[in-house]
Amino acid sequence: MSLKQRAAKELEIQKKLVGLPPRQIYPSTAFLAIITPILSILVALLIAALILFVSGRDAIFILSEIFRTSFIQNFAETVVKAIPLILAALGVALAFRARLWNIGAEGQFYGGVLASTGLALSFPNLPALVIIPLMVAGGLLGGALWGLLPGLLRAKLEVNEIISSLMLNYVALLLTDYLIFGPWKDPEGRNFPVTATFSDESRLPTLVEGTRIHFGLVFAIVAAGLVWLLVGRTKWGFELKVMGDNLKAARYAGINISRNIIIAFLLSGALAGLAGMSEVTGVAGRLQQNISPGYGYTAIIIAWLARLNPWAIIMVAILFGGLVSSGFTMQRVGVSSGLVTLLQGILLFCVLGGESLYRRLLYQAALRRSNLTKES
Amino acid sequence: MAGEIDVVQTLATTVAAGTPVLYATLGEILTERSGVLNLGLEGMMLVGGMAGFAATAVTGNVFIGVLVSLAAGAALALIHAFFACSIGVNQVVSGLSLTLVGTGIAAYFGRSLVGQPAADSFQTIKIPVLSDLPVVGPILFSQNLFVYFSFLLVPALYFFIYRTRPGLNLRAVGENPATADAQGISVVGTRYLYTMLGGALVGMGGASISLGSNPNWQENITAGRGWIAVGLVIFALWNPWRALVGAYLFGGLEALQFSLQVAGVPISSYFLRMLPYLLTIAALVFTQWRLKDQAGRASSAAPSGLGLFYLRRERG
Amino acid sequence: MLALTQTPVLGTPAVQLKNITKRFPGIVANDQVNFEVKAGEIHALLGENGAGKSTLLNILAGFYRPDEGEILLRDEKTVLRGPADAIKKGVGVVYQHFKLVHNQTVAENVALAMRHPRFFLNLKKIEQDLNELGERHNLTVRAGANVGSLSVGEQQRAEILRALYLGATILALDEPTANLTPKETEGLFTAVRNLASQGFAIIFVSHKLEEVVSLASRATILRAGKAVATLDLKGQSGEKEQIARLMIGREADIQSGLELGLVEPPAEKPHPENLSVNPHRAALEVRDLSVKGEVLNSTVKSISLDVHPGEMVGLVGVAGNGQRELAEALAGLRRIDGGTVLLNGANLTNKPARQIHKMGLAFVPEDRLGVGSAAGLNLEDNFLLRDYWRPEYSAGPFLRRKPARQALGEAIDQYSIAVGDPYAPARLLSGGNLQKLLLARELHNQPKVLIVANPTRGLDINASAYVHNKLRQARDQGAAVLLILEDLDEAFLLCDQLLVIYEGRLMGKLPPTRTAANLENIGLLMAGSSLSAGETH
Repeated sequence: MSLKQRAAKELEIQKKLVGLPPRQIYPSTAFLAIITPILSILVALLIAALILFVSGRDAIFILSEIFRTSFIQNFAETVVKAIPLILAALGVALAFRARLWNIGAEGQFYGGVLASTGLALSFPNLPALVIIPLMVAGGLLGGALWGLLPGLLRAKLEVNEIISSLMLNYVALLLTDYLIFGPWKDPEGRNFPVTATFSDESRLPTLVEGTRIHFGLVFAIVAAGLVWLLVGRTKWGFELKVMGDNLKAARYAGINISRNIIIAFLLSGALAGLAGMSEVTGVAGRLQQNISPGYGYTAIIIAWLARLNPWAIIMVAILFGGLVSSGFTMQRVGVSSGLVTLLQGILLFCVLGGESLYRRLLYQAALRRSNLTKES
Repeated sequence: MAGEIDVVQTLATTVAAGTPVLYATLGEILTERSGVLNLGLEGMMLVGGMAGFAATAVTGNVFIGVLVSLAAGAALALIHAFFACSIGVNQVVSGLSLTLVGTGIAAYFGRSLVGQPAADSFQTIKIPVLSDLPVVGPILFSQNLFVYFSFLLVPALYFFIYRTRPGLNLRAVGENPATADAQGISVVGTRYLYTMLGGALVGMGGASISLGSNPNWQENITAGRGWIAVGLVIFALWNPWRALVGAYLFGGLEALQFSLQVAGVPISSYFLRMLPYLLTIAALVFTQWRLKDQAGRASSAAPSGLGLFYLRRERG
Repeated sequence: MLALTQTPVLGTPAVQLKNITKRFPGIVANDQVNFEVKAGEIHALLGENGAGKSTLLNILAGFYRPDEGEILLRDEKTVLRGPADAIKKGVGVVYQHFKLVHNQTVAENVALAMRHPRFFLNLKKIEQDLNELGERHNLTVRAGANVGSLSVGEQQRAEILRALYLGATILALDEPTANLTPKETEGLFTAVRNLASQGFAIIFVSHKLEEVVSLASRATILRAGKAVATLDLKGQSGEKEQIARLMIGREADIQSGLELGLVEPPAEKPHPENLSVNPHRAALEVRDLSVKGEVLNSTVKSISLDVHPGEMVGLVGVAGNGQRELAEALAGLRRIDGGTVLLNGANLTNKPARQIHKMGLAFVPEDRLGVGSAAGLNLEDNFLLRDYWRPEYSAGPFLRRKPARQALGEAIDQYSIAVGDPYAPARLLSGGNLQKLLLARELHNQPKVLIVANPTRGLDINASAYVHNKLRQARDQGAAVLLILEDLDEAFLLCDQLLVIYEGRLMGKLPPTRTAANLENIGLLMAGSSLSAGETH
């Protein structure tokens, strides 16, 4: 066939516009997608039970007690714990999407806490309509500020962001200690390391009567929606996705990588900061030591387990909220709260393992399909 | 004005305080040289420290404690090796999980030990003659066994990595696993081995705190030293000698902070305690800045296969 | 370990593969393959990309275990338990992509596979032995030098030496000439013939018919996983045609004949008709371009070149001489240290990649999976990769997926891209289909300048022919096409003009004719010698 004939034929083809076939859902893979996480969690519980059993505890009693208190009796408290987890996990997920390992959500959480506490203590007389938006802005900014340095260093000097963001967690904790043991210590607090209680005006309003569920829940849900929109529907979200898959391809695509790294860290930090702000103004009402039982670290697990999907983050965060709020239950039944951390780690390992198995099966299936349709 | 700073004492404390981080850094260098990125150092150190402490409490023998800490570190690293090398999950996330598991184990099983002094520990041993040398004597030769062993370990590891056949194979596996595989070296086997050896050293690093420099048990006794070690590996450009420099730099800051407080310098201790963390960031910035002419910067010195899952490609 | 234990008797079977079958998910890579090599023989293994050559080689290297069939080495039935076992049993494989650790010396690389001594290394001794061995076999290499500082030819010699040093009597060479200058190829062939005459069994894997008939005494042809024939090559005419027929399974038509080098491309290229742009003004003008290199000798030093609309210029040279740096600098992916680049008169020196793309310069990089695509994302995302910001695909900050899907559907149809599932990751595409996708994407906006690096590397004949036609089509529609090529045959087939690059400098400009004199000139330039002034054009 001559070139001209070929060109003519192609023009002909070009005329009949053909769209893509709809995305196919394969029943076997859909089943796998549901069954793997469930199995993984069951295996994790089994291992946890084993550890309890080995250390001479009544595993079934303890685990069922945790479940009963966290998810039936005190579900509201679980939701309260889930609020900062959702916000921080959304931030972490945003950065992870571009394969930016922001391990500094804990420090960024404190960034938000410190900024909003500072505002609350400085302006005790402002009306809620002024101080609350101010504190929201402060929380966002404080978290963003804490995320700025790792982002900047990674973007400009390729400094490993895992280390830099993590180191800042310790710095944030020490700064908080300095403030509550020093300048911010409540003069009437009988020398306890706490700040003065915030004015009622600068407390986030309660959302559900009779519980501690506060307005932060609205922030969390709105944030989830915004992150979903940002990541899934915008050009910037597309850029993040490409960066996460292949940085060289991102450069080839003409994406401004440095700028995006910095923005992603700022946004990621801002969300963690908002988590801190809503926790300190919605729950505690004053700044005290260990205001976060490791929310920033738990957020990392949540983001990963939810496969960075904002809606899944809400679900997983509630699960982990239950785990976090069970610390009290554990004390009651005489188990170290270290078990919570341990259980989180085991859970993550099991889900990782399940995930990897699932991916491998999926890949094999896709490979089989694509090899069958390849041209010979 | 407050008292003087005792320079020799500060330097001696520097060496003592740097040793746990040195062990952790050396362990991670071994692991990363094989191409495995294990971020679980903090967890492994804690478990090593706790297990060694508990074993010493039970047996009353610190040597058994050290052996147990080695085994505990290796056992934890084995989990990571399985996830990273056999099923190929993301090594960053697997390392984070390991940190959680380790921190959890240390807290859960170590709860009854909190506040106890060590039943036995490595005491300061003055090496005859050498310890009488001026300046050098008290700094280098009036230390405990952990410190002396690390003096031997650094050159030994350097020699091992660069001058021996297993070291050559180790570098090849980390640098170019496909080549190593084609030359008949077991990539997975090598990675398992060095992940566990590295984990053992990290575990001993934990024990060098709880049975050495600070012989008692507290929760989170490592206070981020594991993470600092991860940073120091980059600063050290995967070289044991440079790890020594990095670890003592860190130890120096700890010692200085202590000396400054003793001397009554009016800086809040909270800010002094931030210094090691900030120093770690600064060390990374320095490393990157110094290598700014090289494409990929420090990553150009990193083993090329670091953090990547190697699977003999089976495809059609 | 150094000396051969005993030289095998010439003509006795060294390797026999019997009824080898190897399956991968959804595909049978080797289907009842029989293959035999005698000691002292150079046996060519031929086939298109994807015919199953690499799988067979990997089975021989101990990498894969065959699902069925048996392996006989020197008439003895064996199971190869892994690469170490294969090396121990005297099999040496030199892959096209060398298996060398770059920041170790040649001697250290050799020591990798040695099992004795166990702990301490005596590198001096190994270096000495290697130098001796190299001299004996005409394969000299600097044994104490870091592999990264060696030329491609030297690296290959290091690979062969390693195999010999480790006691290989069966030597498989996978596309060994792909990265060599004509002169280095000569040298390699001499060394290989020499080895064969000493009783080594040589397996020569290639898809270049010319080389096969000149070097090998027998050839086994694989097609779609099956060994379709083994021929004795006696240097008669018609052999190449016969092999070609066996390789593609039908009579070679002009199209595939061209691809296989059976048919000479027409000396007079069809002249581009009715161009809308002035062909006298170059679309791409490069003046004194300097770019810092990534590897040894790849720094681009003051290169000037012009590409006119409707012209296809080939930049030929051995890999690693600055081609990649040049192409990436033109596409805005690498910093330009000196000189200027003009596109239709507009300056694009050190402009961001997006702007250069927008101005009409399209670029298909050589590394399709590593640079040209985000291989973990699906086809739609990859189709959008370079164009998602264009108004037709976006509304404000949002991405419009529908028109993208539409355009991709058209591209899949128009370029007949075979996809199992367009929502599966792009890495599952075959090389040919991925290249078609990249071409479809880059040509979608009618670029004024098109730069493509090694457009058909790893593609089978059908896909190659398709890609070549697309490139010609783009040129005929008025694009200025610059091809980065390592394969001279491809350069002769496609280009209107050849430029030779060596160590980052342009050595000369030559016509794409396959005369002996011209070939010789190109070979000289690729190796860094210059021609006397009268010979350049």
